[in-house]
Amino acid sequence: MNKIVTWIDARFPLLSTWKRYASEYYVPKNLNVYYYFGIFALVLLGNQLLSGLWLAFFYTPSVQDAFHSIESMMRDVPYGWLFRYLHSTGASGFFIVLYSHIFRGLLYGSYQQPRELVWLLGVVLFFLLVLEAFFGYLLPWGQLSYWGAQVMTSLFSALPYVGDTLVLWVRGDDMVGNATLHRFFALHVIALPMLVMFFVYLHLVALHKVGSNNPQGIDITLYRDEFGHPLDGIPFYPYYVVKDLMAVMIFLLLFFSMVFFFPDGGGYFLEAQNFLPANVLETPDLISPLWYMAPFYAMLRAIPDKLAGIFVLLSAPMMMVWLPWLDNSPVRAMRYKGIYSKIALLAFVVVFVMLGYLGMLAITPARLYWARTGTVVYFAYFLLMPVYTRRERTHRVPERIGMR
Amino acid sequence: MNRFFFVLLFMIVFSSSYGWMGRNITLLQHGERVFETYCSGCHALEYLSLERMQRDLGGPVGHDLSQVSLPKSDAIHWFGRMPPDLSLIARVRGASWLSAYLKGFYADAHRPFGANNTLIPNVAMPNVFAPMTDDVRIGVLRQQDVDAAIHDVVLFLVYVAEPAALERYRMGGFVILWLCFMVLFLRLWIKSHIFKHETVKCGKILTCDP
Repeated sequence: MNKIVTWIDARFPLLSTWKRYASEYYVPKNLNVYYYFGIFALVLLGNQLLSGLWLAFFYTPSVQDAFHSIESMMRDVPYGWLFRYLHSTGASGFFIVLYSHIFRGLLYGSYQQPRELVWLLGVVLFFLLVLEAFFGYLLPWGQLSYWGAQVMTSLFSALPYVGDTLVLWVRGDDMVGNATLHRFFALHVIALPMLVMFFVYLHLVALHKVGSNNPQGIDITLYRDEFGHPLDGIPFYPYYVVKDLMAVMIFLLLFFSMVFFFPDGGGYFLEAQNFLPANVLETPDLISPLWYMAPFYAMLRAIPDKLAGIFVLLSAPMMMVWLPWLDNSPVRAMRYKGIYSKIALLAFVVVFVMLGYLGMLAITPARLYWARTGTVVYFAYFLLMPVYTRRERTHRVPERIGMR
Repeated sequence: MNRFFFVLLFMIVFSSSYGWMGRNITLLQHGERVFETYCSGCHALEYLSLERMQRDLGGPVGHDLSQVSLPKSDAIHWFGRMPPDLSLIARVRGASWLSAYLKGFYADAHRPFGANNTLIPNVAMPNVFAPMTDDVRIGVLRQQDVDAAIHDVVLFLVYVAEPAALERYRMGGFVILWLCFMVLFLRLWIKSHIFKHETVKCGKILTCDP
């Protein structure tokens, strides 16, 4: 075994990479439960790739056969149902994990200097995964797949001058049809997975360059022992590897409970209407997006003007891009920030959940009012951040982890 | 705390799977007979293969229900449309909706087939269980028999919408059990092998003081 490693290491940076990324990569020792969501996302990415591969063996991307091929997968292919549920539950699970991962970033200021690039690469990943989910959602060719794609692609038509041409270019047809299904399939299984994997790689490389943040937001590199190792850090291997392994096991326990016992997720993971094959002549009563897109969809509907609505829809997640430069606080972690930041984050989370709820319901005047209020609060969280982070009184950050 | 968590999880998992594991196959077989008698003249079950049904419901039961003998032109002439395929109806509507719908028929002389429905007003479908209701009136059948027929046919439709559910619940229990053992095993292994190191001797690295 040692011989093989030596042979490889003479030709490939095996041991140095292992040291750099695992055995001598020092991680703050006080990471809490929020720091597991990164590894969960990685596990789910692996799950999506493998289960997706299996699904692609049996799926037929054509208007005539798409729905049928999935139903036959659910019945006639050995364990086809399992792989489909792994993929569909994995998609929703992915966004639960991602939103928690992002929340961790907001809570502990993981986007602040020197981790701006880690954050930005993460934001790019979020955009890519939203697109990936959107393309994948058309593939079952159910009622909501079809009408959802119809609605979302029609948004381009609001752009002046080029709108209609652009819609035609995106769909490859006047309506969402065979051409659209084919290209969405290609994008879903080839283009976006490759991009996602590349950006995950960059995200990790950038993270390992600057090291993990921690719940206290303390820089562990300032105090080192005689070997140059951070005093408040422990090596990623073996300590965090086994900790992550344990966390992943518990995560899988919850994940498989969903896969086997609640694959529909109460109609949120697999929507009832999507078990009807797409019908061009019958628009569903309510075209609602999947829950993870719903907050942004609620914002789109809250704006009376179509073009302005699209602008808001795009700028809502784009706000995250500016976040490292909006936060003027001298401290990273929420526990040392002042009361304004705490109220702002709480309001942001409440409003985001509320918008998600509203985005899945039909519009009424009262809901419209709440959606508009929610949109204003959502943007205020970001746009007022330079003001409230500078004005509030922050607490003193201890020198080292564990000190008060 | 951990022990409590596991006990809770076990209870959730097995209480949810109990309903399926303890399910009586005879109810499904009865549901299949009811479907064949009262529904299969008009409604197909496109995605249900006879082979699969016989394997799941045990022994040679029923006939091929994937197609109907009703010609489309006649259906449009009589009902205004082709009666829908019911393979996935239980996933679209849900079991409680289906039984409420089937129980929601009432006599209405203004409708072509003399029946209307409370859930879908002016529905094109006739009240297929009317002969049963008549039998109850003359005392040949009991009301419980009609209710059982509706209950079982809905159960059958739930099965048809997802035949894998039978397998899913059975397999899920084992997977969860295996993962629980893995978690326990890992916990013991990590405690005895990893966190005996000097720098983290307090066992919980989260609460170590520098």
